[in-house]
Amino acid sequence: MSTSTPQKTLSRIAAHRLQKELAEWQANPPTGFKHKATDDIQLWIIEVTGAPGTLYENEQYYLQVDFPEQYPMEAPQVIFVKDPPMHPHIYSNGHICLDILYDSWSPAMTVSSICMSILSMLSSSTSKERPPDNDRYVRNCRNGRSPKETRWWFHDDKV
Amino acid sequence: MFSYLEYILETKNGAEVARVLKSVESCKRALIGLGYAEFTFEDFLAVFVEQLESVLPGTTSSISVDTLVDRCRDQYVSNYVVMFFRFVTSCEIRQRADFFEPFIYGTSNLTVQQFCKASVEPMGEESDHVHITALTDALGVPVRVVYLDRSLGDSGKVAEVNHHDFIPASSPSPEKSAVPPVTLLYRPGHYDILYAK
Repeated sequence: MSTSTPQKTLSRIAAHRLQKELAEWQANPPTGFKHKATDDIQLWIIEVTGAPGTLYENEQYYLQVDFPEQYPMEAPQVIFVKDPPMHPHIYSNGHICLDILYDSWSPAMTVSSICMSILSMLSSSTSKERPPDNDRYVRNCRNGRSPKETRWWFHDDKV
Repeated sequence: MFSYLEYILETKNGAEVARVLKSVESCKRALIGLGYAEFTFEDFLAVFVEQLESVLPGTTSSISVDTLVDRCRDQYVSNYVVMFFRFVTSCEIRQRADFFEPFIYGTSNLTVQQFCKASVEPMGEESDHVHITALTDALGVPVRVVYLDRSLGDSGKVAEVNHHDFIPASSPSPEKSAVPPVTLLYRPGHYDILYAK
């Protein structure tokens, strides 16, 4: 499954920024995350390990981070690939309901800070289940629609 | 931003550019002190400094007002400078959290951290009193905001428009009473530049 849009070339400033971000990540990777090398700087695959003492302890998941041409002015598209974790804010197609990926994105954020938010979202979960509207939502995204086209309604900041 | 750069270009005020560059430099140190990684804001800072340098009088790279208009209308330049101002604003608010906290809590029920994350750093969030106070203080650039709300003016006449001057605390006293170089007309959701007749 892939919902990535056709690749466009990054703006010069975006490419430069991403290189710096990757270098910083390699020097200082966030705990619990591993960047899987690909030949494409615009598409990162990140391995996530569930934090100790949480429902996802030692489980492995994969995030796909797709950078738009105008990164970081525009948010990257972040989804879970392969088997997304069972979580009340993560849909079975990998889409994640998290405000900073959409409306609350700020160019002041980084892939690292996104990862930390996602890990904290996983860690605070008290039940391994899909969002109540999972089937309807996933059906609506069948033709490879990006989660960035969804109008998200952020209703629960506890989990 | 345009109005301010235009003011420098017209007054050929090299000392003002030097002064603002100093403020920018101290913002940079403050951001790092607050835990921002330099790579997250340096591109934005560089675009702003580039604009400042291009209006610096007496250099070969000086540009005309027309070129300045074109640059400021360029989406990339405009967005990057706006985002740099968001960094500066957020930085100033966080540094003087004790001062800003009651205003923020009183109007939005958010903590200083939450406010900066939710209402300052994302693009497209509106700039209100708190934001303008922080930005004008941080850069040391006074701004006058004029608003048409049909309330009574200072002299009690309805026909007069109201304004509020944002004077940075750091301004020397003669400047405190002068008319700020930048005057903006507030229209809900937007500010327009006003020129003195």
